[in-house]
Amino acid sequence: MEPSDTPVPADISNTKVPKSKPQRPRRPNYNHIHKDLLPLQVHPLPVLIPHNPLSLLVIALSYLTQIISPPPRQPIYNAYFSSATSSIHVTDPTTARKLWEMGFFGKGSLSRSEPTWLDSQSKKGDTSEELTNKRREERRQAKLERAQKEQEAIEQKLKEEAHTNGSGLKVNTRGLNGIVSVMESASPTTDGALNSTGPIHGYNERKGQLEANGIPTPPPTSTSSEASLINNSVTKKQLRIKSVRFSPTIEAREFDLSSPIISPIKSPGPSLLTQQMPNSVPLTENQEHLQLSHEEAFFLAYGLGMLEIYADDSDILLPTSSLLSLFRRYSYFPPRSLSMQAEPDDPFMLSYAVYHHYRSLGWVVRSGVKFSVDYLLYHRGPVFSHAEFAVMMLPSYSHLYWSATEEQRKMVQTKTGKTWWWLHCMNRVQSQVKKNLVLCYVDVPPPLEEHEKYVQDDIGKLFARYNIRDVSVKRWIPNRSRD
Amino acid sequence: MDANPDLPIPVSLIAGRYLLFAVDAVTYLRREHHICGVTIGTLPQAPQQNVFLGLPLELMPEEVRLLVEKGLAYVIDDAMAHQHGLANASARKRVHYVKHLRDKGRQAAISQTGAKEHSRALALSKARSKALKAPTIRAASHDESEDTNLTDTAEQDSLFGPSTPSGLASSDSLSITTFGVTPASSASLLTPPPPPPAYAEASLPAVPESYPMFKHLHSNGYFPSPGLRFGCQYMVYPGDPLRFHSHFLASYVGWHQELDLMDLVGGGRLGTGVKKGYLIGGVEKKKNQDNADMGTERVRTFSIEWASM
Amino acid sequence: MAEFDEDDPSLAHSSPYPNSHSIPSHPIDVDLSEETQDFRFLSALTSNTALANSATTPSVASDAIATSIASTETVIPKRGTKDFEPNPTRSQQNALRASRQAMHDVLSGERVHGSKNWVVGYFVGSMGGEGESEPLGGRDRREEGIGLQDRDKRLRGCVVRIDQPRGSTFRTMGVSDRENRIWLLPEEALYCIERGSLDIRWGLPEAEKDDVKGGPVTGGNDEGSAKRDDKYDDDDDDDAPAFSDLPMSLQGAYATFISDKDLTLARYTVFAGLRRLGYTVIRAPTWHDSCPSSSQTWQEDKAEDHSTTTHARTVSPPPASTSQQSFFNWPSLRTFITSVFQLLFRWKSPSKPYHRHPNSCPSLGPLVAPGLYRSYTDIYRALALIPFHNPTSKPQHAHTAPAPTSSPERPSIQPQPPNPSMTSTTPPFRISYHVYKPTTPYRKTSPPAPDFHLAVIDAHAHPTIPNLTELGTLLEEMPLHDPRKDEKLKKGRAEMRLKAGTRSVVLAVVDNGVVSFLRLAEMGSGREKIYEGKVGRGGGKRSGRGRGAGRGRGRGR
Repeated sequence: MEPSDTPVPADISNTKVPKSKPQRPRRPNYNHIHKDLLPLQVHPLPVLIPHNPLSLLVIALSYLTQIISPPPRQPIYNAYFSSATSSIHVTDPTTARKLWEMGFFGKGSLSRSEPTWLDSQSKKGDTSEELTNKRREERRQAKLERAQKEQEAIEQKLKEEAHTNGSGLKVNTRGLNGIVSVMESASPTTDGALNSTGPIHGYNERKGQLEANGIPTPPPTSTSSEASLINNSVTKKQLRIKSVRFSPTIEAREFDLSSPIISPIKSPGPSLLTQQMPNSVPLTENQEHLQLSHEEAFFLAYGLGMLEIYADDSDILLPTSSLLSLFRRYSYFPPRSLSMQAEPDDPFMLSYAVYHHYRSLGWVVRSGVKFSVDYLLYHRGPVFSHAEFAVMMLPSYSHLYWSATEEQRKMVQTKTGKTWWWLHCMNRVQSQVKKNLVLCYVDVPPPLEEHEKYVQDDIGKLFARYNIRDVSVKRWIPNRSRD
Repeated sequence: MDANPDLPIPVSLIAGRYLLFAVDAVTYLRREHHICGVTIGTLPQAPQQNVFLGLPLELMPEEVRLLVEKGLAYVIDDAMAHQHGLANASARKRVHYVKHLRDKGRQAAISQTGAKEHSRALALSKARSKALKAPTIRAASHDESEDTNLTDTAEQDSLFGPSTPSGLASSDSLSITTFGVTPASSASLLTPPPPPPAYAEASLPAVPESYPMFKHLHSNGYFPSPGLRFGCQYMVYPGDPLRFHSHFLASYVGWHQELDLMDLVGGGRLGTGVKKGYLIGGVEKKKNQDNADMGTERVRTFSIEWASM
Repeated sequence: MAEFDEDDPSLAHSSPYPNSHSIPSHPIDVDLSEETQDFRFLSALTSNTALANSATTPSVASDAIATSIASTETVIPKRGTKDFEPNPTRSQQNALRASRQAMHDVLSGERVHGSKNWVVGYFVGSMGGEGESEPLGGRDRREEGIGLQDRDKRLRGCVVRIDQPRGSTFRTMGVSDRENRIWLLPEEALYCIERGSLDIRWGLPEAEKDDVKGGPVTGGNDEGSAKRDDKYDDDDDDDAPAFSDLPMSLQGAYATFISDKDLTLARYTVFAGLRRLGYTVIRAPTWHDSCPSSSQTWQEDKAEDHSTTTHARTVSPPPASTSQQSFFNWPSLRTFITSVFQLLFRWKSPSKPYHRHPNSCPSLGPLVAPGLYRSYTDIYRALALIPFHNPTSKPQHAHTAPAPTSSPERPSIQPQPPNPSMTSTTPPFRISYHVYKPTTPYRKTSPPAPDFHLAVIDAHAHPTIPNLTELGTLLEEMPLHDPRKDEKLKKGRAEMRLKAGTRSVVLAVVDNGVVSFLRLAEMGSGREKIYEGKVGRGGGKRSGRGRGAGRGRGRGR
């Protein structure tokens, strides 16, 4: 329990897999690694134990120590804004590690989230990404096999029925009559079909024509890569029983993880921190960088003041006010030019307000794009537990300014008109992955009036004009709510 | 089930919604034209659950429009029809109606007694096999089918719960109390207004903009169904929903409507999570070089699968 | 290294907190009513209880079936009965045919009334004009027409009168009058006739006797009554059944009771669905669009904090220059001494206004001034910036202060002038029904507070979700249930409190006959300071006090 902590990179030797046994690797001590909640150092005094007078002495001693030899100032880290990727890159591995460990900021450009690419190069075992890929491959195989079995079962049954029909193995139109009438009832007898090349007779004909018209066969018996092959291989012979044939070669697109995208190596500007070399010097050059989103970078720069951001490959330091303007412009695609005016509902303003709100309450906030939401909220972090809340940001234009003219009202309608089907889709997706959907309404203020123009330069006042109100959504099931 | 109703079928329009009350029409449309609708009525046989529901059948405006376009159905304003029908209900009609219901009630009473007797016979045979071990007077007297013994009704009680002994005890095949009947449709009292003549321009029901996609899917043999609970506009079945699971979760998008990529992600996840395909469709607007918006319109559909699972 | 792969299906079934044992995950409920089920399962059930092709007294039937249906989940397999896609096998065709036949048979089931439980109701309204059942100050023609002596306000809107009620069905529905007759609202009447418990006749029995306007098509329509008189002159007019002898068909009932102003089909579908499951469903005061929205009548926590939350602060003007941070920092020493005193004397300090650090610069950044911090609590406090809605303060009414907000700083720019229409709910986002659980004892004379407040929305008539104003005003009408004051929740995890929310409402969205319920609850995330549970050496998720007396709230303040 030393009173002072020097910034030491995490001990990554914890994470090396023991070579001998094929058991699960020892889980690293996440509690220790992620003991810091934000990328700022705190120097807590020892805990006071009331009934132990000695503890008071200990506290006083450590306090004095801190006066005599004060701990170093907060380090400032560097990153640069890449206009090509519209994100902020952190190339220094120590910084990247710090940002990840102290608050789970950023994403490794070559990893799923935590920047682990370099380690994975030297590791013998599988990275988590590779494990995931293996799992997916296994599932795909299993699906294929199951589909094949189902198809064989159907063929078998047809054979049996044909047998009892007494017409041999070949299923002719007579045997299909009873079936055809039902099938015809399922397909229109009038000319509503767009693909009427003649009366539809025979089950397989219908299916073949369906596919020819681009209505895809559904995925459950095949994966997406299969589907395209199957469609092409269906023939239109009338008496074929098999309608789904599996190609022996599986066409798949695999991304080779070992050939990374080269990211610029240049680390911009002087670093104030005297770096301690990491324990093991990797032989391969680390080609991965940590990618920060606009919101994360702005939070670190404006909120915590521990990140300095340079423009692209230059030594030009971007002050925080320029950052705001830059991110506002880049929250559109294509980015807006400098000549365009900033608007109160610039996407960055809204998304940052939400990000900052939850971060300032203590949540670990990460992107939710994989779950089609804006943010995921973690209580401690992705290594500890699943996210319980999935936050969807919705702009709200309740100020009278926004309903003043018909044009404004139309604009508001286009920006806020989400339907019940959309809401049910969102809710369903979240409940499939055991998360709670949260609608976070951000109330948009009207544009600044003439006498308020000075507020434009005051970031704090700008953001203080917004208002956040969140509502949780859950399916209510009458059967389960009875008691 | 094979009694086909007369075409065109009258569809009740009540307060802006389309309902069907004739069971033959419901079955016919389902079988022959794969129009399924949604049953919304409480089943008298099982009134305390929501898994199985009965008449009336609620039809989507898209379904009704399709039927009207094909000349299979026509729309009647049912409130007006009832008002007029009742006002003009002649004495003869009313007599006929009441008699018709009385006959039905009688039939129902008979069949129920018959069913009860059948069950009673079953119970008797069971009791007999039990009584073989311990014959009592009770067993002997059970050979008569028209026993109104108290023990008999006690047996009935155990089968049917607390029944009404007096009503059943006094009933025999000669004097059966007629049951009351609430018919499902008013056809026996009122004649529905006739369909509009063929030459008259039928006023088609208003439909949402997704109608072309609905029609496209339907014409290709699918059974579309309302999909709100699953987060889509239509659940698309490859066959009768009684026997098949849906294949697609379909949503309509305007051809030039801006799509949020996140919605595609969400839809893909939605579908793949339940082993269905997420489908979006729209009416393709091909612009002619000379005139904008002139050209063939056809519906294009696309399915999206989430590849990461 | 290996963080949770959120997509790993094997992990999806494990609890997010492996060490906890008391947190139930939300199962994806397999709701059988979501997909069409094979009617043969129902036939099997009904034939087992010897009720094939006929219906006995509904109460007897329903008891028997209810117990069977309760175990329907086990009777109908959750998966595996249906085929994937149509194929030419005969076995599939046979299954399809049998299934369709079963459905046809079930749907053909006749609604019969056995002698013992034959309850007759009389239609008292008039057709074409059912919607106008709003409370009128003056005379109501219908009431005059039926000779009702007492202008009982509760009977307004009722359409069916039962002279001799029987059975327990009417315990939770209808209005009783002095003569022990039961009067039913249109949804109640329709539900009863639909489930086979009620035989409704088109007219009142006394109407014919006194020749007073009381038939379904009269109601002041002289033409109609004249026509009727004509018909009486027909042959066999003595035997001609009166309207009170003509049973209403189900179709007639729908045509009569469903209107697009009063009882829409969407509202009825929701009503019937919940009633079938045993809920008690009563109309809310805001049933009609013209009714004023209810003010807060429910018991509310009187001990409301009108003071702003602990996040409230006053602004100290930012310094002109950022001076070099000296260690002997006055606020730091002060806080240290304060915390020591508090630890010694176990004071729980009331929320004091937060004084922003002089070197903190909200206008240009950083919010967290450079310096020495003892705990993350101070850092988090310094980060507070975005105003958020405080759910526990009283809702404002028009022409007073704007919507309650908690501002970390008292903003100099107040963008929200009071919106006069902000406090009244707009249709369709108004409460239609008060819903009580089946286990809640409901008494007509003194109804308890509802378990759920329900708003019914037709998805096609109103396709867009509510905006903040509409949702906010609707939520503000709901009673407040502060999870921080709930016995169970206040000791639990913050996530549970957030999920419970402070005010909640249930929306029933109807899409062409399919009903989906959503519960929307005010989350109030700003009130739960997650960092307070996390601050402390070695991290560790602690809910509550933690070890020693010095961590968490006592510190740093």
